[in-house]
Amino acid sequence: MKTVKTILLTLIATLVIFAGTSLAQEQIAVPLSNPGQPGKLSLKLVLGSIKVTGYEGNEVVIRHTDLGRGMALMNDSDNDEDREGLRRISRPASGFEVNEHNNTVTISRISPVRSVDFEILVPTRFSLTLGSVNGDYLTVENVHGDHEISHVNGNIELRDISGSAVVNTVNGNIIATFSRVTPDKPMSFGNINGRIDVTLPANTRFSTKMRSEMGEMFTDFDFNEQESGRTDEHTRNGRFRVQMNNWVIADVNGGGPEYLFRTLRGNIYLRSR
Amino acid sequence: MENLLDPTTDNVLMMKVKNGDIDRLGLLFERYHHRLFAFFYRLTARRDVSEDLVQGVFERILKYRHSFSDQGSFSSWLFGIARNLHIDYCNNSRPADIALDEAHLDIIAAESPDSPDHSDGNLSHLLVRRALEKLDPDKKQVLILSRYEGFKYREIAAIMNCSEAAVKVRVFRALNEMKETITAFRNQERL
Amino acid sequence: MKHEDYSELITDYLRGTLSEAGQQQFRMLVEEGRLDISEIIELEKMYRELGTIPVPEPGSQMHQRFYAMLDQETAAMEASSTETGKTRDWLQPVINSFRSPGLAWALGMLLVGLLAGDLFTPFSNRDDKIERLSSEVYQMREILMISLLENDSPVERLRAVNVSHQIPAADTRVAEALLNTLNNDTNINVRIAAVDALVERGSSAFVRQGLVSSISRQESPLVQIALADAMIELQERSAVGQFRLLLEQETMDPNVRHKLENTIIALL
Repeated sequence: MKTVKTILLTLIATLVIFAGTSLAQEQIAVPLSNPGQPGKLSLKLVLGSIKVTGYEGNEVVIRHTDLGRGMALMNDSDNDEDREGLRRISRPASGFEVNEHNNTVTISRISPVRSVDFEILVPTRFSLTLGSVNGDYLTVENVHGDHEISHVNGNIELRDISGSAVVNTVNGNIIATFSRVTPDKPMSFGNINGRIDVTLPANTRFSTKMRSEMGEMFTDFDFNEQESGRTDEHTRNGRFRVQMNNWVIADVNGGGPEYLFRTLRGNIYLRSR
Repeated sequence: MENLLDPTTDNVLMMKVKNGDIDRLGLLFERYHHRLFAFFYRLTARRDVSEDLVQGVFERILKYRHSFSDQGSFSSWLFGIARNLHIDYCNNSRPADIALDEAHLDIIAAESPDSPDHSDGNLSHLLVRRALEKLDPDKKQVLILSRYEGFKYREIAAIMNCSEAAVKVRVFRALNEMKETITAFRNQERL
Repeated sequence: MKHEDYSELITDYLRGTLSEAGQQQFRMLVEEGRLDISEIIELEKMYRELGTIPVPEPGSQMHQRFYAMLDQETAAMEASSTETGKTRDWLQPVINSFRSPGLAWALGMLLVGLLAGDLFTPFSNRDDKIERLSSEVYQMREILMISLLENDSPVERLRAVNVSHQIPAADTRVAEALLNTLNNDTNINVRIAAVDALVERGSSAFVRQGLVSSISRQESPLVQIALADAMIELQERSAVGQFRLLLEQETMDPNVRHKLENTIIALL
């Protein structure tokens, strides 16, 4: 029947503690309960970068590189001099847990004080829930599913993905190219600083709502613009609506689910391919 | 809850499924999965197997949806499929599975809050359960359909594809067999 | 086994479905000693015991497996027919909603209600009927939206927030659900969408109050800024205090700080 495979990993960090340069990369392959069926991956990090790539396989392959102690130093006010002449006998908490249940793979219990980079291979039909607070990159390539991607300080790059995506970061670019979108599913992209650059198949039907308060907006789609750059009140489809300043609201290819683009300072680029 | 169900509605839904609106099967699943699960659980005493069988029933419904005819009631058709699936399961399961069943029964016995006390003619769950277990699949089914599922003999006959009289005889034989098994168990204990 | 001739009588007796004639016959047979009463009692006892065998609850994965199968079949059918109708756009969330069993029931019962309502009022005034129908449609959307908001997928929750645009502003349950989403949803994009949906309901004092008190609860600058825009749009001066509270945080991003300071100026 449905087996829960729990792989508990405890990494033994030895040299890594002192030398940021010598990286220990390890790999685990997680088999799925229903190979060939769509699955889900969930991974939330505090420190570290993530790259997920779709491949023609039936396992989730997790490669991780422990970059050593990160923010832990915030809680460690002691100076190096205090430790002079002593040998380290404790090992900082490390390791994480991987669970597989009904094709849902969850990576959890990652120490918030260590910086770990993940490079993961997933079967192409996978829905991703990825999050990091501080990472150099958060990249997804060639994965089809409903994706939920969030970063705080760092870029998000989604290359040749398909399905739908809900994406946010605070400081960082959002760059996404879709090879295909699931009809009828709404999407949303938001950040504060950094550009939002999204490429969609030319025939995608959607309705868009976009706003950049301080930046500019560009597109090569044929916008059937409903309202923009006005502040007024009126009735649309029998419902009361207040239009905000700077919003661009348009139907593309006849309209469809709502795609929201919102940034404070960046530019928005909406491209067709 | 079952009383609220309007049989004509079931049939209407199933006809829609038959005509390609297969999403309607969701509503039928919501209506029947509990009953089916209970039916299989009483037959097999195994939760995992019962869940698999429920899934199997709906797989078959999808596969054979074109064979549904509005003549009979949906629930009879459904339990007919369920019954055939259970017989397939019995034919295909290895003795090891049966052994597991026995182990499972003991677990039920251990979990049962009221301790077995059959010295003065009170029957324990366990004893009845064991006796039920010993019946062949046909008798087990007929008994469960009549005792739990609230089907009329006429409906059971439709499900089992036999005459109404045959259903009554099977129920009666099943009960008698169980009674004999229980007596045999008791005699064993006395020895 | 001699009783087998009377199996019909006995099984009917056990089920309590003996006809009056049957009852008489049964009594007669017992009196004549052709039915052994002690054996019957034994059977009856066992029959009763059968009813007390406990059945556990099925696991939740049963639902998941079923709907996964249904999805697969739907996809296979869609692949074989190229046609996609406009009705499916509307139907999709309804279908998805069946993933929540409670809602499936609610919707099912609502449909039954709709049907019954139609059957029993065949001659009612046409306008009344249309009005009632549209309120039922709103009700349906409300149920749909509230249950979609509980979906695990943020895409579905976004969809739920979008459905709220089609429910009249007077609906307080929808407003409550949206406020709850604004304060508790795990996804920032969904929270932002909730802000926009709530602005549309800004004529309600309850909604405005909810938006204002949400300001200091938000940690994401994206949501904070969406709320700032919302407050300017609604000209909600009572939000000033909340923004000042936020600005007391030292770690705030300078761009966000600037935006919030401007918001306060715009409101005063």
